[in-house]
Amino acid sequence: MLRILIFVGAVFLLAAPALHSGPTVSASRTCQAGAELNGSPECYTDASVGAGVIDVEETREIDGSGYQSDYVAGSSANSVVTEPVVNLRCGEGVPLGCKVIGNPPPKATDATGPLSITDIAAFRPQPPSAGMQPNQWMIVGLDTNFYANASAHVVDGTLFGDTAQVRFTPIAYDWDYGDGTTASLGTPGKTWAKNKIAEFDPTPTSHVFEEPGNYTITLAVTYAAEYRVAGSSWQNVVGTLTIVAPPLTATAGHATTVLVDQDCIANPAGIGC
Amino acid sequence: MRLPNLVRASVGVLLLVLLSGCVPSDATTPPEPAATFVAPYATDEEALAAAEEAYAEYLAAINKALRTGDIDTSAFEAVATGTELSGAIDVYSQIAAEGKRSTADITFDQAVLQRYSRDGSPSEVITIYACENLSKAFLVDESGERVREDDIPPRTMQLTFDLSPDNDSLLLSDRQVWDDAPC
Repeated sequence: MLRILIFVGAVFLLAAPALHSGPTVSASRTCQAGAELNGSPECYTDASVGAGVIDVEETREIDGSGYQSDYVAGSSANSVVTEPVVNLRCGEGVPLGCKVIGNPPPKATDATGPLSITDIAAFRPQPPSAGMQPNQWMIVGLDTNFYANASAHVVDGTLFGDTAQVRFTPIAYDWDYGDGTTASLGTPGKTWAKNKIAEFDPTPTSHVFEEPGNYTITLAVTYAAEYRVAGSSWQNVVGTLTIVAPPLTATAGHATTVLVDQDCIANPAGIGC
Repeated sequence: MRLPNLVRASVGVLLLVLLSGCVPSDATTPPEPAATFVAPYATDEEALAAAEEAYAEYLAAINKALRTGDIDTSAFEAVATGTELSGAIDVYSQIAAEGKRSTADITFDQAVLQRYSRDGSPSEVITIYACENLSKAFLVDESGERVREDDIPPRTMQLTFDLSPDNDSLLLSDRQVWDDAPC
C-alpha cells in the first residue's frame, strides 16, 4: 500500500489578509475594549513603568520650562529635582489636582527618592529565556514563531539597611535572528496554540528565514524596575536593565513532499525514505 | 476474438488475487467520528458574513452598556462565551459602577476571514480580522471629563467565534488586539 509522507507535517497556509500584509511586528494582546477606553493598566503590558498620565496631588508653582512641587510621596524636607514638562493639559496655570501628560513630577532625592538602576545592582531579575516553534528548525519561506519567557516579578533584598523589594517588568524584547535582521518588539509573543492559530501562521513575533542554513537566534529582554522599602508604595527606578537570554540554535531547510511505500520512521531504509 | 470462458475466469481470479495483495492483512475499520459536527455555513463568504453579524451584535451589547451603564448579563451571554464573556461582564460592570459613560459607539469594518473550520468542532469555528474603531467612543466620568486624554487609533483585531450550543449563532470567544497594526 502506498503512503504519502509529508516531512514537515501538515502545512496549511491561509491567504494573508490585506490587514496584515508586510512585516509582522505588531503586538498582540487580549484586552476588553472598555478596559482600554478606561485606561486600564493591564491593557498596556508594553508600557514603561512610570510613563503615561499621572495625577499630581499638589502643585505649587510653574514656569515656562518646567515646574516644581512638593511631591507628597516623600518627606516634606526633601530636595527637589526639576525635569522639563512635556505637556500640560490644564489650561492656564496648574490648579490643584491638575492632570499632567508627559514627564512625571520631580521627586525627592533622599532614601525614599529616585534610584538609578545601578543602585539596585544587588537585585537581579530572573533570567529570561527564548522559545521557538518549530523547536530548533525552520522551513525556508514559512513563519517561525518566536516567543520570550519573561514576566513581571518581585525580588526581595535589602536596601538602605531595610527590607526592600524590587519589581522588574519586561518592557522590550529585542531579537537578533542571526540572518542579518533584528526586531525590537513590545510583546513577548506566545505559542501558536495560545494564539489560537495554525502552525506556521504568522504571529506578531514570527520571522521568516529566506535561506537554508544554521542560525543562532538571540533575545535580549529589557526590564523597567520599581522598588519599595519596608512596605511603602512602589517608586520608579531610573533607567532600565537589559538581560540576554541563552541563544537558540536552529537549522532552516526546505520542505519537501515525497512518495514512500511505508512508514519511514518504522523503516528508515524503505523506498523513498 | 472471443476468449474461452475458462481463460476469462482465470484472468478474473488472477486480478482478484493481485488486488487482494494491496489490502493490508491487519486492516481495520476506521473508527466512526466521536461526535457529528455539521459545518453551519456552506461557503467562506457565508461564514464571514455570519461572523461580521455576530461581532456587530457583540458591539451593540457593549455599546449599550457603555452608553447607559445598564449591564444586562443575558445580552452579553447571547453574544460572547467563556473568558471573553466573564471578562466583558467584569469590565463593563466596573465601568458602570464608576459612573463612566461613552458618548458614541465602537465600530468596525474591513472584516476578512482568517479561517473557517468546517470539520472541527463548534469551538473556534471561525476567526476573522477586522478593523475596530474606538476613537469616538471615549469615556467621560461623572463630571464630564474625559477619562483618557488621547484617542485610540483604529487598529486590527483578531476575533474568534464559537458556535452556540443550539448551533444557531456565533459567540465571541477570543478577541486579540494587534498593536502597531493600524487600519
